[in-house]
Amino acid sequence: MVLLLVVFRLRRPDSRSSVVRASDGLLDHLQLLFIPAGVGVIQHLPLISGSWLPIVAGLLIAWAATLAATAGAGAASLRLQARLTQRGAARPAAE
Amino acid sequence: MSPNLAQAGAELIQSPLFGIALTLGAYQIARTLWRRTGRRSVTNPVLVAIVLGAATLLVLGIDYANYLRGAQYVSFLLGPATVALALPLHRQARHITRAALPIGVCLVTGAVSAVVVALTVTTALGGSSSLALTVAPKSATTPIAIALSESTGGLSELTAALTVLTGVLGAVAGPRALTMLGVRDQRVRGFAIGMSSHGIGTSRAFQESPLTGAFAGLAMALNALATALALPLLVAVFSGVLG
Repeated sequence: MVLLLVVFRLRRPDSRSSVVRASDGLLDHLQLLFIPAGVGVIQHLPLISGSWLPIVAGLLIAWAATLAATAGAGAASLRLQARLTQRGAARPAAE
Repeated sequence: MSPNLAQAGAELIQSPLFGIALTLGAYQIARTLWRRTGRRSVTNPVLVAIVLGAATLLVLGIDYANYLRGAQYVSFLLGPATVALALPLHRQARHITRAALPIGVCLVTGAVSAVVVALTVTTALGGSSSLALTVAPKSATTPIAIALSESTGGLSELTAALTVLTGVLGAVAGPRALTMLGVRDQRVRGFAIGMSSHGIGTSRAFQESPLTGAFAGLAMALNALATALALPLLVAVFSGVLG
């Protein structure tokens, strides 16, 4: 991915390039590609039903905590960044 | 007539065509249903297609191995798709470089929360240590999660399933949860979904906007790296605190 990103930055292809069209095509149908893995869950249903409470709770709560913590950190750091840039703009020659 | 049909049926199921056809068919039905129900989160095409596919296999008593024989060609495309994520990153590069500091902060916060909360909750509710280790890597993208689970002593096959479930959870409930939390900034929404729900969440994020999707893809990629680095350390600290 990083290599392709470097290539994109350097060569800046327009929207008719085949790489761009292929990438857009793949990404448009990204959801399709996860289906086989999802169906694979049926293989492990017995394992899950054994100790379902710690698994389900662990999954749900950790997911929610990650989502909330990341969003919170994002909002807070964006506000901090905005304040820092405002101060920087207000005192250009202070140092 | 009848034995020949049964034979033909059995042969068809053995062929790769079956897996591909079932996957594409389920996807198509799921997408149509999604559009017909006004694109609701709950009729998320990934979720519906998985349920349709799984139900078909279970009801017809078909082995997953037969399905995988064809379906592997579909999931193979995940490799190129991950590379293709460079395109939205490229298109949103300005936004990304300007938000470098918040991205770093979110990354550390999210990666650490994911592992620590997973370990804590699973253990607190009576899960064994290997179960906790199985649940811990689930917000990282599936191949990384499996590798981490294996290396720390979890059940890597179960981790694979849990990772997918986490992704689907994020795709279905993530955007609404973020809206309820009052998070409107597309970059934050995208990053939060990518951190918590990796690729499947990212696919949902693209439906919101290219910016949301780009940040989700970025989060997914960075989280894979961050979790790989942080998890062994966090696990060591956690077991040190417990034992």
